Amino acid sequence: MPDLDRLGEVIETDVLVIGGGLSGLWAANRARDFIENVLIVDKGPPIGYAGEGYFSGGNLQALPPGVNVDEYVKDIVSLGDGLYEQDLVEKILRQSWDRLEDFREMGVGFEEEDGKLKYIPQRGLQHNACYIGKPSGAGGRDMMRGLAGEANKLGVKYLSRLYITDLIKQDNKVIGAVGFNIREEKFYIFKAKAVILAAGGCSFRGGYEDTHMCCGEGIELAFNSGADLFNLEFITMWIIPKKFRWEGVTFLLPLGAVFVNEQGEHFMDRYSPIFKSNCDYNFIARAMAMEARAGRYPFYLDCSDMRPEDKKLMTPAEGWTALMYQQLLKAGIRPFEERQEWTATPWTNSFVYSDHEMRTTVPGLFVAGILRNVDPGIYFGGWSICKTAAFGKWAGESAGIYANSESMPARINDCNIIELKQATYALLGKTGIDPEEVLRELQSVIFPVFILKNETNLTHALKKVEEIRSTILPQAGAPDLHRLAKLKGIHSMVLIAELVLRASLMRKESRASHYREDYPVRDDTNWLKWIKVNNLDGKLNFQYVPLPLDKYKHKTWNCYSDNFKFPKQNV
Amino acid sequence: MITNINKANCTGCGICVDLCNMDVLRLDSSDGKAYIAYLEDCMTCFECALNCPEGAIEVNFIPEFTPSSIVFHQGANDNA
Repeated sequence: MPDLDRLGEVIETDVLVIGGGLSGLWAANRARDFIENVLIVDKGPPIGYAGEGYFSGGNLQALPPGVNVDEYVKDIVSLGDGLYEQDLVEKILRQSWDRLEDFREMGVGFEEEDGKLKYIPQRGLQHNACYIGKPSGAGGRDMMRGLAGEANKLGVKYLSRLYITDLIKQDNKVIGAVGFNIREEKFYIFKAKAVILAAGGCSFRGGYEDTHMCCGEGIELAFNSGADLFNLEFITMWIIPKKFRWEGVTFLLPLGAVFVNEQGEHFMDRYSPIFKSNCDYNFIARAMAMEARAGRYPFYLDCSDMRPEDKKLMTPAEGWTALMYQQLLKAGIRPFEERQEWTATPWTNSFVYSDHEMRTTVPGLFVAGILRNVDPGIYFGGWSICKTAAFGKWAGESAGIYANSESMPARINDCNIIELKQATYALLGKTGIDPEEVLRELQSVIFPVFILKNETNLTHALKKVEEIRSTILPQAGAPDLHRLAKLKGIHSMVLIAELVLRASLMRKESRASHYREDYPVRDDTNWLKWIKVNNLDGKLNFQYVPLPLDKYKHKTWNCYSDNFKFPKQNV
Repeated sequence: MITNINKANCTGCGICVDLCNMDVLRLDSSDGKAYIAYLEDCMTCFECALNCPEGAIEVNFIPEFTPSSIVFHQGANDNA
């Protein structure tokens, strides 16, 4: 048997963090409080530049000091029509202000008004506070700079352009990972006492710019290792301008921007007289789909009635958004003065389950960031960065403590690594269908059924996804390493698409972002439960897990979806 | 999407290649300068244009090669 060294570069580390975005950095920095060697690997650029958060506005949900946490928890639970781990939401909120202070200490700016930090409540709800990144459009960049600066001080190691294909599992524990460099033919074998997955979610490479990199490989890695996934039926939809990119719509809506259809009608007023346009994006996407069906499309965002001082506040000041904004003005496009066409796209979706210390159901494997699902598809501004900070810190702590109690795996099964390496490079150099074509085919099959679901369109899409897997994917080729990585991502997306469609077929009701036209009524009697799935000896193992109401503080709640007038008659 | 790299101004420093999240850019082995290797993967993040010390890179706001939003039209969401 060959030595591991002859198969690739072998690297030993106490804690391996897969993904160098916001949560990966939080996790690595925290792990260093407990253990010496922490290594981050990322498929993208060098430290400080990777991941979605970099491109975000850096807006942050936080519970202001002295404010009752219960009201905040109740509003979030209502947003998800009750399907929330209430205790986890409370735990996130209780530490959120400390994270905001951490960011400020790193030099990250937030908007102020009358000497106080300014926040804007989200989605028409009262009890949440989204603090505004400053300068407008560059908050995420500054957060990444701050965290990367800390990581460098702490001696966190970092490898970029490294695509992890498999976790190594021995004696039922995760003890490392293997992957390849996407720019040179170089294979890596990582031995680790603990592994933290912080690789982001799955946007199916949708059209919202900073999520375009999110293929869900972290979800596939978790699933293949046997970890539980859940909430797969709850896809999150996003809204975007059709002809340019935008960051910060989360504030435009509460500040008075409205959606209109081709006829100039404020169509959201009909779907929700209470919230109108200022609501969760899934409901806007759903209304758009229904309007389109009735022939009233396309759709526009009209910011003209916003107050001049709010337009100024929202005008991109630095970074990529400012550069783009200057280009728009030069091209005669004035987003604050004239209505612009908008549409919908899938956002980063994630489905990995863990306990509240970020331990997945597989020993040695921890999860951080967006990858750890909390929400049944709904979203509100600033929540992601709030969650990623919490989860990163907790995952780093749990993995660091766990790694201290473990010894470095003495021996790794060489045969297993040979197989993984062969499987990784099997497609390299092969001519065939361009991965881009496979990606577009997949998107054309699944995107149309993400908003308005029914038994017929879900079943049809599932059949098509199975065809892509069995007939199109095997014909795809990867003439070079770049396309090999792309193809690996498509493999992840095909798996996730199948799981999403199957879970969507199972949930025979409508709740939060999941809308079944054939079961449009919420059914609390039968469906206050989660659908979980894992990989049991190569088979999909679905299970229902009831909401543990007996141990939750809040036994009843208002349901956000009750504020919308979508058809409510079961077909 | 990225529309042009001005070869006359490019010094081959490689910053854009380093920073590209989507691995769109590479250095040409013949002249050592940056070129667009995988245009279809550009996500219009502007990072290359913002960080080029020579201002040699043009990115246009129109995400022409990002196909992936929902196309709303009559019947689009009806049963397949």
